[in-house]
Amino acid sequence: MSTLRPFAIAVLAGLPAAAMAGVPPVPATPAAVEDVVYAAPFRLKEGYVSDWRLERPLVARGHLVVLKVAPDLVYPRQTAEPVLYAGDQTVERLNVGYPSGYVIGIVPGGVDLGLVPLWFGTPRLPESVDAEVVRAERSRADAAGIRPVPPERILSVLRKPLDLADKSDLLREAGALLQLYAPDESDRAAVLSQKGR
Amino acid sequence: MTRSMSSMLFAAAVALGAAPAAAQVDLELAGNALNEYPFFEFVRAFNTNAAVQVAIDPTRFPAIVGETCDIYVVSDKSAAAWAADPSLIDVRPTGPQTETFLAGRIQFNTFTVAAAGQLPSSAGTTAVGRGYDVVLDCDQNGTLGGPDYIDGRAPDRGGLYVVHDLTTAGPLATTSVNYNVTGTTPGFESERTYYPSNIATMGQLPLVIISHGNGHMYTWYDYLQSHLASYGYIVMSHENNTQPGIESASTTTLQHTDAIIGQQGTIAGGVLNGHIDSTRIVWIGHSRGGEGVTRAYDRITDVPPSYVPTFFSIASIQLISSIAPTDFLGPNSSNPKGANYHFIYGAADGDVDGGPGSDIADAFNIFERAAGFRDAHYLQGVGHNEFNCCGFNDAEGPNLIGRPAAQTIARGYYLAVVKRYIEGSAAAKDFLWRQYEKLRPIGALATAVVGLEYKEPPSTGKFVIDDYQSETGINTSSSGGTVTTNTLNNVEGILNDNNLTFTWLSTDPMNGMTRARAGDITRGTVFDTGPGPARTMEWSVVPGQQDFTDKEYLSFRACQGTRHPLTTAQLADTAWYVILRDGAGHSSRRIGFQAFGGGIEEPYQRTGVGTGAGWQNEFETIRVRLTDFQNNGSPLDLSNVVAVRFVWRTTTGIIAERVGFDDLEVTTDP
Repeated sequence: MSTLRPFAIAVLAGLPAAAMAGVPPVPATPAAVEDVVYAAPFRLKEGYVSDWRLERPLVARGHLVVLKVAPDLVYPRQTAEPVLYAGDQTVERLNVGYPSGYVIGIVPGGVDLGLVPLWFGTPRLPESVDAEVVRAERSRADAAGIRPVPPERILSVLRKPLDLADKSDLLREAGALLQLYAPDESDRAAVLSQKGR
Repeated sequence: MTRSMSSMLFAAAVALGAAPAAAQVDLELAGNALNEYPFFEFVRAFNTNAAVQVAIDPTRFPAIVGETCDIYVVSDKSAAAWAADPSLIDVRPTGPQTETFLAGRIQFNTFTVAAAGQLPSSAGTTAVGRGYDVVLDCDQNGTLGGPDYIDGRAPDRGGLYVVHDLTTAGPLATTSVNYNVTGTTPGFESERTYYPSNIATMGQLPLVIISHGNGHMYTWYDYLQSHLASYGYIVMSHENNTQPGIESASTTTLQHTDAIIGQQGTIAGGVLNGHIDSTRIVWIGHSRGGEGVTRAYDRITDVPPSYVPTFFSIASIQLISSIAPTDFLGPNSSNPKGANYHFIYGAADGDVDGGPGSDIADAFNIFERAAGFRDAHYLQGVGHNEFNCCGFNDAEGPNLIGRPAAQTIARGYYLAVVKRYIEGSAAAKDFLWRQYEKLRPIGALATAVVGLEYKEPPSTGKFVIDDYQSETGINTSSSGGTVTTNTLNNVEGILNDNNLTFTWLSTDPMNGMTRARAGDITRGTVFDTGPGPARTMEWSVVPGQQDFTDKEYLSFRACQGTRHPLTTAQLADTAWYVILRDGAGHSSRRIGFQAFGGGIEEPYQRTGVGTGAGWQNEFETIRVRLTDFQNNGSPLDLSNVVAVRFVWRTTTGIIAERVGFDDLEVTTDP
């Protein structure tokens, strides 16, 4: 073992990661999502406008997902972070995901998760991403050999559809997932679990 | 002295209603003795753990010579109150002290009037400083009149203020509530608000709003919320939509500002109802949120605005403060414009790192754009997340002071900043510019290194001698005067390091200046003051601007050039001599500004982005009171100043430094 990332040292030592100093460098992109561990299609009676693309689309359906990722890709940075994509969509991230490596996210629209790549693209602000940027990032991902998660894997984690009233309902679902997959973010999970109440 | 400041002040006092038959002199008296010329600094704020002294220069005020006067320290009274009741009541148990004033030097006429802790401070109040006036009762009749001297009547504020430890909680018990509002971006409805527990008995209170950074939470600023609430503020922190970007973050700042005001009738059972002063609002943002608050202001002031507030106005935003802000959007979009702007930042920030490799991480860019009153606190040894409770520790560099110490400093300075801009506190102003080594919140870590910048807008009536924004030739100031110098390697330009490294290279004369990006206009100069002989720089003052009697301070900002051989040769603060010359050829005595404490900081000795040690250049503002140049018989005529001269030497020898320099001005003291 040559070097350990700070969070890894913290975990091994039983210390909170926050006690460790240093910002991990931004990993090279494009970088594939490691796995999909949960996916539930959803529909909202009342959609919402997404800030996660320049076009600010209305989101009324999509997938609520839990993704396993390399933690350094989602280290909370103030400067530009790698943007998470699913096919031709940006993924709306609902938590930090560091150091757990589990990201709870919303994939808007009718994306077939078994047919499109899931990856992190060039660091930038998601609100500046438009269709042209997505196309360019997709080309880079394809060139890098990033492939979709096998359809059978998606099928194995696919849950029953969620018919919900609005985004608050969706966020409460996300809160429960966050508590399950990233208990180090229990404060954030608690906030999500109170949405709409 | 043809037209002294004191006579002007007296005229003001007369206009305000002081008895015209009396010939009292309004002047500065309170301050601190110095070990070298000018031998005394007249100041406004005294920490309660420091002694208070008074002094009068017998050459500036020759009528005092030979007088025996009773020195009174009295509770601060307004000019009107003095006119109505000129009686003198000394607040000290020992009563007034009698002193005889001598000819010659100010040192002969310097007296300690209160030992440390002797005068009651602002402890137990919500104020920054308890005010006092000082009177030299030279007819010894126990009444202000006749030939007396007074500090604290005109201008109409305290002659001095005794300040308690600003890092400690105020006198008001606080309550916090968590709740959701409506009308904000879905998923970002939550707020946490602190307020004085007895708010029901209080009137309207100013509103402070905190917008967190990326990956942060709105629940992470209790230390700051509770502190300000304990001094009489409603302090709300909200969920901030930072992950998509700055535009989305600014939207949540704006929405939550409207929401807390518009929904005060229902929040927490209506406890805030009727108590929010929507005309006095402070926006504080951290990192992406720190840029977001400037973007929010930009949006409501754009024509046409991209957000129209419902429950507040542009004028409501009386202060914007950024903690280590990013700069994604640049000068056209993230710009505090003419708002009052405060900035606090850690030199060990491992995220918004201030390095030359990314404009986004150059927090000072936004500070440089601020065109209103602006001030900065730059803390060595402090990372990005010391300003909240729970972010990952990203601090990089030596001598890290840690989260508790950083937050203690932040609490103290934030209280001063908010009190200054929201309530006009005269005492608080000193904490915006005086050197940390000389005046800091009492509980602040004494060994910490904090650099302060302070600048007032043109609307205050200042005269800018040289800010390098025009007349870009080295031998002409921006005001059109000549600049004569034998300093070396002078370059004027945009304050923007032109490569990706802090390694010193002669091809990058602005090395370490990470204060501008494409589209920014802030300019300054750099030069070498070594090797010997002693180097000088002299600015002529253009005709029409040579009367300094309506000004208070000579002000400038300077820094050391990071990793330059002249900087690394002596790792210490630096200072030099400042001299004024009048039209009759009289030069003032030289003032080495280290006399006031501190100096221009050595850049933080952080490594990385190249070879060597030293992070971004650390500008500090130096202000020298103009009348200091007249002490002890200087023949200088402040009504006819024709030149400002710097000499890079001290009593210990030549000062050979790499210097960055900007904003040479003579300022008023609003």
